Parts: sequence; C-alpha cells; structure tokens
Amino acid sequence: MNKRQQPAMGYADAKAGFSAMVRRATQEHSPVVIERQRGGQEGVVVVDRDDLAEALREHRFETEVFIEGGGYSIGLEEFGLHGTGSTFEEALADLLDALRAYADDYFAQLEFYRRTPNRAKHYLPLLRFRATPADKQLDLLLETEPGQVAAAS
Amino acid sequence: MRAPTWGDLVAFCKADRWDQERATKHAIYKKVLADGTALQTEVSPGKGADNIGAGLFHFILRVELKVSEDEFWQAIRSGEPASRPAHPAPPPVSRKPSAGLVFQLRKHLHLTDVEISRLSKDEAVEMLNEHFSTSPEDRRAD
Repeated sequence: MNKRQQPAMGYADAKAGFSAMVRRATQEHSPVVIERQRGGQEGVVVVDRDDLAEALREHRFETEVFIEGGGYSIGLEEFGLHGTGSTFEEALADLLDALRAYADDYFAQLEFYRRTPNRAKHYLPLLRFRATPADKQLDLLLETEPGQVAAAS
Repeated sequence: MRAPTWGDLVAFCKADRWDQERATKHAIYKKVLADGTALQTEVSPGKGADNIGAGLFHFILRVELKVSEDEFWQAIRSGEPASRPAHPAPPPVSRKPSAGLVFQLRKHLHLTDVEISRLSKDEAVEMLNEHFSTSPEDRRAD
C-alpha cells in the first residue's frame, strides 16, 4: 500500500477551515501540519492534547520531600527547583508556582536554554507540563514511577 | 558549623556573582557557568522560618548551586566567587520519598509527619507495597 501523506495546509486554508482542522486533529487523531512560507520555512503542528500527553507521559517530574523544622520542602532535582511551605499542600503549591514560572521563562528564552548542557533536555517534560490543563498540573507532581507502588493510581 | 539561613543563601549568591532575575513571590537568582551550565536558585523562606533545613540545604548545594558545603561558607566569608573546580560529584545520599509517595503514605497508612520524615524513598516504597499486598480484611484486622 502506498498511501499518500496528508499534505501540509497553508495558513489561509487553516484559517478558513479551522473547525475541520481541529476535528481532524482531535477526532481523527491525525496531526495537522500548517506551513506559512513557500518551502515550509515556518510551520506549526496541531495535535490532540490527549494524544500529546500520552506520547510524553514518560517525561516525569520526580520530586523529593523533606520534612524538617516544622515545615515541608519539596525538591524537583531534574529541574533544580524547590518549593517550601508550612504544610505539604502549601509546599506542593509553591513548587507548582516555581515550575510554572520556570516553564514560562524556558519557552520565552528557548534559544538560550537549548544551548545549555543541563537544561536543553527540559523541552519535552515542560511541553508535557504546558500541555496539561492547569487544574491537572499538580497531579504531575504526585505521580509515582511506573510499577513503583503496586496500587498507585 | 551553624545552621544555614535564607540570608546566607542571598549572601552566597552575591559573593558568587549571581544575577537576581526578578522578584515575584520569591527572589530568584541565576548564574551561567563557564561551560554553559545554567544554575538557578530561589530564596523561599517559609512563614517565620529563617533557617534552611538540613535536607533542603544539601539539596540546594548539590542541585541548585553545585558547590560543596565548604565552598558555600568560604564564598560567604571571603566575599569572592566559589572556586567550583569542577561541578562536585553529588555526595551519596539516601533519597527521601517523592510527593506522590508522601501523598499515599498519608492517605493509606495515615503516617505522621515525624514518621514520614524518617523514611527513605526505598523504605516508603517498601511500606506501601507491603500495605497493598495484604487484603483489605487483613488490614482491618491489624
């Protein structure tokens, strides 16, 4: 079988057929490529959010909790971030704020971070974080490693 | 050696020539090492707590500042940047439980903060797996 690949759409076609394009990405689970300039010098890809989350699920946020001095601290070693609070929930919320601020900074200065030996690899996990609905982002910090705990959710 | 404070962390960042990027909720400091490694730390004192706990302090040294404890205090004393001859190899540490594990220890085993604070990550995993490997009836009989 030699099925032809879906051609990339132009920006004008994408705007005119926005609903159909989104439907193709979400209901047919077919990523849509949109290109602006001849030769495809600039383009974007529209992907279903759940499909993206599934594809990126191995990029996890491994935390470490310190309970000391009457308070909580939670470290996120891979990203060099931490959060603090007088309760577990407060420290988690503080770490979530720090991670959101870092993600904003990272994508705003992507060219810089891409050149750093220790942070270039953060692109995919931060893409997963950014693509996760805001009210579900905290859950990413509560994940356990696959198979780590038998009854973990 | 005295207990480190958030003020010490600020003093270190100043001595080690870190840039204060912005002040939102907490002050954030950044530094780029000669090899391009981008460091970042945050001065985030809790309510009424100026001291940094030992576990968090060593996390900050190892992960965020990439200096040894001696280099940290030496930079503050001298007011000069840390020598940081090479990024120090992380000292062997017993990792603490993740937030997900702590959440489950509290929810299913009803452990206190003191009990959780004594557990390593491996011990937490072992306790949870032992808990879930017993039937609900056995758990109720305990």
